[in-house]
Amino acid sequence: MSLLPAIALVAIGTIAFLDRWPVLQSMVSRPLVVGTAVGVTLGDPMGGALWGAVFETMFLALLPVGASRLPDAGLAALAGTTAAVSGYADGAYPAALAGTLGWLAGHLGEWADRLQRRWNGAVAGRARRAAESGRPRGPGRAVAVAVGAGAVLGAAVSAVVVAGAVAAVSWTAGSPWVGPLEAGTLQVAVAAGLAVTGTRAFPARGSSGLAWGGGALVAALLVWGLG
Amino acid sequence: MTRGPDRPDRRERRRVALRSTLLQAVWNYETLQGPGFGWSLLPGLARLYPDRQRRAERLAAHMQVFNSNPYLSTLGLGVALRLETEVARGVAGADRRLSRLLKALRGTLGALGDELFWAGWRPALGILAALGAAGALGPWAALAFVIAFNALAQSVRVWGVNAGFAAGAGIARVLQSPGWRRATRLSRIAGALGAGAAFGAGVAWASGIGGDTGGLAVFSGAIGLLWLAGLRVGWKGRRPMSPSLAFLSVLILLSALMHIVEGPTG
Repeated sequence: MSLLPAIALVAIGTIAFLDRWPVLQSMVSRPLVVGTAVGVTLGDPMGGALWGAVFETMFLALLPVGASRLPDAGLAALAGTTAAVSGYADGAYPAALAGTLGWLAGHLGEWADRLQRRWNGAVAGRARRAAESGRPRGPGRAVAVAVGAGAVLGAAVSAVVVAGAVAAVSWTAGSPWVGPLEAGTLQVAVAAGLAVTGTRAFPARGSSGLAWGGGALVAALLVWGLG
Repeated sequence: MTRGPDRPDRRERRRVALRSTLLQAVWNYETLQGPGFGWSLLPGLARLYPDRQRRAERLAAHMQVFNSNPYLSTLGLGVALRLETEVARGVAGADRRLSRLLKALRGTLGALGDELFWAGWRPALGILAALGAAGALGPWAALAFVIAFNALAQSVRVWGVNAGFAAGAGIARVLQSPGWRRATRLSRIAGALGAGAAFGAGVAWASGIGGDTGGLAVFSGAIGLLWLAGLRVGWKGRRPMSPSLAFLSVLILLSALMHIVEGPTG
């Protein structure tokens, strides 16, 4: 991989890291969006979108409620989609390798989150003391420092997972252990994952049951019709 | 609404809503969203307290523990802006009343927002968009997902400051509105629609790959494995397998199965 796409991938990872909880939360950190952006950067938008859907399915059921600690789904999609798209060969993606790298990257992101939140504790303490001693600009500086530190941390973990994904793909090229899967099989796995996770999250009772049945019928007819 | 010592104008309310996008920037394990809450409120405090020392005191009071859903937190900011006016006027006990109200709001705003956004609209739209991305929509699904989610979430963020300020201490009326329940119910219907569509599309996609029955066997096998991982692995007091690990296991098993059936690739 040349330098320019690598820098673009680190930038995508940094934006996703910040959007996840410190800034805006516009959902550009969701795996679907990160995976698509990685695909566009590496010249395979359809593959990126498919792998974004794979990681969206993987992390769909994790809810950021309260102070819960969760794997970083955006970082998982960055690592996994980079490995999948750059390792695409003979009509198949290295699915087992990409999925495992994504899962590991998600947990690395969780560790980075904890680090930033602990460090934020010291920044918040300084800001509070500044306000208590009559300096109302303290919190503004704290916000700027925390966002800056988040960007640096996000760029660092993104660089690590992108480098790790590229290295893993080059080391394992041609090996059956990467678990090559064709796009069609991945598509079916995504549908199965979404159907199970979705039905457990949104039980099909009453009007939801009608929506479930209607959705199943219309989608099947649409796919068969388009096919 | 015109700006005066007692009333925030539109620009000030917009600034508060804009600052609320950084509400969690200094999120920490001691005061949670507290520092961001205080900083978001600063345009209002600057209007109410021209004296720097007094302004800093009130800012410090608002930097105590606060936590709620990030999109609904602006309702709390609006309420604080309104009641802070009484504190600035020197109404007896107003600061204690504001502090008690914000403490009570934390849980309610968190529960309401988490149910609506984190357990409702985000997964519902996520299912529909992921299905679209795996199907014909491809990369456009991600764009549609971001637009649809933000149309709702960021509108609520901006509306929250205005609604919170208008309601003040009567915020309970806003929170009891049947609109919240309707929006949550609608998200559940959208989620069920997406789950059903995933099942239907999965059957159709599966029948198109790997011969007449091969694809359907892959689909039903994946469904069965995921269902078992969620339900049965948690049997007899054990914790259920995490959904991400369950799906990763399915990917690895599918890869192994394809390797055995079709032989090594490459």
